[in-house]
Amino acid sequence: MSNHDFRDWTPQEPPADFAERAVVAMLAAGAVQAAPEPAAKNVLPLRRSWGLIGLAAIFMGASAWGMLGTRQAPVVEAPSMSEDVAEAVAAPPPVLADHGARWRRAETPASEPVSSAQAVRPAPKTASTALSPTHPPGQPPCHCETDLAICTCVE
Amino acid sequence: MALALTAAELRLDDKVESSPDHPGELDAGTLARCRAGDPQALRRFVLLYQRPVFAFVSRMMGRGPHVEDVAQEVFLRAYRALPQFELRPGVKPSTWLLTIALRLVQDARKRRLLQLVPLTEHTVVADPTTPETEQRTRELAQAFERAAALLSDEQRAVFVLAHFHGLELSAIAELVGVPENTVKTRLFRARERLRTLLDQEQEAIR
Repeated sequence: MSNHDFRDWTPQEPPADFAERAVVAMLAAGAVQAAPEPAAKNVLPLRRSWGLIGLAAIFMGASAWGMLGTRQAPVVEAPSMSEDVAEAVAAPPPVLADHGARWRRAETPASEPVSSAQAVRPAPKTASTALSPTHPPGQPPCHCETDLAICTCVE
Repeated sequence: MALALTAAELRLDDKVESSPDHPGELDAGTLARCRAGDPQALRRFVLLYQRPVFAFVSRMMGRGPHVEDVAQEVFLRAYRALPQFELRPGVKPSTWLLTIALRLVQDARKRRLLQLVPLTEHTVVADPTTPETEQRTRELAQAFERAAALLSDEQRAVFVLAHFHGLELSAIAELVGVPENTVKTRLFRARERLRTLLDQEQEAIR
């Protein structure tokens, strides 16, 4: 293997007036500006990535704050029923008693779990307590089938 | 293989003052005047570094008119970045300029605005009247350029910086942005490949 002299690789020489032209170009470029070159190499990708990280942080922070606010919101309780209202619901006026009973029975089939509001509510009085003058004493005004969906009421 | 620095590339203009910390480099006073936009100081700055910049760019990209464009852009970028540049004991303006030059060469390659010109295109054609030895030297130069053109960009940059600009391995590692061991590996492979290619070229010439 021969010993090659790399000085044979002659470079391109600058033209004689290169310095003058370069200085003119430099001065024409304006006042000395602050440019990130080259000490601040790869600054642009770095800025871009920091921007993305910032956006992601803002988004995640906002999401977490929203979730926290939802969890810590005070529980709104339904106002408890006053005695008068409870009685009125349990014993509707005589004219509406039958319809009310039918409505309530049809709405809550036996298979459904009882809601908390209904659990709090006092048990509805039987139809016999809501006496109507036309009903024979001792007989309930309404008779409901076992599935509680159909009721037959005696006028 | 001897380290073959091109003396002409590193020579100073007689009128340019040299830095006491870095012989062959611009002094801090001239750099300060360059920052202030003093045309005379800027001219000194360009005169001092134009040869190494041209040498580096032409060896990286091949000879041609684009070398002058890239070299001018190197000085423009350097002028804009001068306020951030500090002349410290471990920092040389020449290395800083070569860093800018390398970035510009890489950018040009990425954008494909400047294709790698075959180095043989602009090689000086031998004068038939010259002696036979000179003719042979020119042929060797052409063979060298053809061989170097077959190196990868990474190997070529490391080889040029080490052999023609006298940079230490640590400085090349910092400039190129790779570990020092990677520089060693690239340099070793570049030398081996060049030797092989040059041997083949010489065989072809004979």
